Amino acid sequence: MTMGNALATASPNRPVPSRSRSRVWRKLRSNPAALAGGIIVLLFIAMAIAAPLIAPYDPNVSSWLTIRKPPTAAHWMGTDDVGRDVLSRLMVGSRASLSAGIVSVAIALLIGVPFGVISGYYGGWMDAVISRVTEAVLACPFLILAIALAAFLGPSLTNAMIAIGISAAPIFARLARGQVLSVKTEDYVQGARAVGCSNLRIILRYILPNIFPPLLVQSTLTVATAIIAEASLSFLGLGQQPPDPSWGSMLNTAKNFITQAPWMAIWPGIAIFVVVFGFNILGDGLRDALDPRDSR
Amino acid sequence: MTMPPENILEINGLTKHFATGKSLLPGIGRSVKAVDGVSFTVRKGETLAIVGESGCGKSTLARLILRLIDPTGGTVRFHGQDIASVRERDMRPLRARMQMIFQDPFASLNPRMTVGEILTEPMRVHKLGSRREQRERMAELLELVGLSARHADRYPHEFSGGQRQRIGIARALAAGPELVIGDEPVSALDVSVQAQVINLLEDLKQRLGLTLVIISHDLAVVRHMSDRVGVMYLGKMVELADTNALFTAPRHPYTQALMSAVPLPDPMARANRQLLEGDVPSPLNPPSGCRFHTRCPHVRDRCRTEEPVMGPNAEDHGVACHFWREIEAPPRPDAAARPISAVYARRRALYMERRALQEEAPAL
Repeated sequence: MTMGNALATASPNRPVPSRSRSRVWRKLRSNPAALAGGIIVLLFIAMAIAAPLIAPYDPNVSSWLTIRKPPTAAHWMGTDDVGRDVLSRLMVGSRASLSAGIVSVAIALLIGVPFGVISGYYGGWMDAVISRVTEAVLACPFLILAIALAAFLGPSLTNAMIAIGISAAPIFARLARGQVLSVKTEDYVQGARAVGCSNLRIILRYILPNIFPPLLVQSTLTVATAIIAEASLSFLGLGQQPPDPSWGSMLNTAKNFITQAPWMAIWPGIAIFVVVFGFNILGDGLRDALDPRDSR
Repeated sequence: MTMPPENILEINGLTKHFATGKSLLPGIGRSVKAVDGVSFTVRKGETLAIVGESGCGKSTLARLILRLIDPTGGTVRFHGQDIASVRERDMRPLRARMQMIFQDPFASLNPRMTVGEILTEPMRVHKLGSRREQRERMAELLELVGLSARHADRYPHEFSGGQRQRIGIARALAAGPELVIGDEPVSALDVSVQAQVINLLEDLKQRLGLTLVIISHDLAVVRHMSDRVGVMYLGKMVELADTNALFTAPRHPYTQALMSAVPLPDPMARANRQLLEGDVPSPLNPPSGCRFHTRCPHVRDRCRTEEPVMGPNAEDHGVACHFWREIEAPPRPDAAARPISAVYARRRALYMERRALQEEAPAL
């Protein structure tokens, strides 16, 4: 930022920007990509909530008459290998997939960020212990770890989400630690200490707001990973239990019929792609909107 | 003076060694002796400047005094209470009474807090006043440093460097401190803005009865602001004296060299330039004896083996040199003390008048 720029933005006649939520919202609104991402995510969430009401068929009822039918007026997205309506399964399956994505990431954040922040802020033996454990967990392949944990906890969607959350936590711990290390040395953190802030206050008001953006972006990426991980777990029978649908389990069944009935794979694939894309651009937009340094 | 002034700060043998790298055996690893046995006192109501080259330990000293870093040894007494050894928890209430102004106004304000939040933070931390009183005081502080209460809802990035430094000063004053330490408070600013900030600091000091410790490498700033000056070299205090005495009759050869490096506007006065040779030795492995002996033009055998102590009178004009009596200070006109010509005085008066008019006009 140039000096002239700073002076110009601080000119007296400019209306004082109201801070906090309304400002973030205004910036978000002026960013078409972020807005599109937000709308996509909201639409899918609305669909997940309303699924039982809007699904044209019962997603779990099979029919010998409609096995692997291509899309028709009656079944807009075709039917699967046991004659269930793909559109209905997609709608109801969004519940499992979205919650797997969002809840697992929330769990990962809740576990990973506190450990990462403590490790980075206090250093010393706590950092040594937390970092070694984090590295050890990161050394295990993400999916293998999730499978092992899910198997240990027992097969259910809830346990799958917990397993995915725990497996993803080290990514957030390491990211948070690195960010804290760089923010910690800033003069304004020293300033906060000089003012007399307690460590907790420094962490909550000075460190966390400044390490939030990269965590947010990582979260949106991990939502995608988590949705796919849930798919894998479902495939192994450790996630959503059949016959209840999730996008991942639909994809996994569909791969056996990819040449005969490609629509079985295409629709859940598109759904995963669109949701992940929506989360990513929303995350990017939020990061920009939350940064007060960005003019506008 | 009728009564000896009260000492607000007494620093004795303050030492900070930074370990460089880890060694397998404790005590064998090398360490940077950033501050190595510094002692001095700060009198209530004075402005004490600490000068020295980059890397001589000035900033470390400032942080040690405020206990932003823990000292390796020595004591810091604030109103007689040793704060070098108290626990952080017990230190916190004291922090309202001693504050710091940072060098870089672009790094010292949290980019995610509004100016209002930044300024009320010290009051909230120390639970001073109600929410409304805090808002009022915040507005007062903004006016005090020449900003307006309308600026409270803006973020630091919306301000220029000079304005940000004013915000930094306002924050330092928010909890009503007695002692303010400025770590190069103006060196990151444009020269024209420097003057404003310096004048602001002096003005505030008078109005609020503050004690200032200014860390600086800018001798012009120091000459202008301070009552006493301490000169540091490689983690040691080598000379401490009244500003006038130090600038007109420096005793330590390092101070003499420092003074002769000050640019003079009058070419006729530019005699007796005494330039130092070589670089500052590494603080990892400082020279034996007097630390300045590797560069001192007057070095003798004793300097290489025996470390000089501050004498003769560490309070009034202390100098850490074995032979200061024998080293005659080269006669040097004090640039700032030279009489100014009548023409210059007239021009300057005109300028000050204009500036006063400008300042009366609604500020920003």
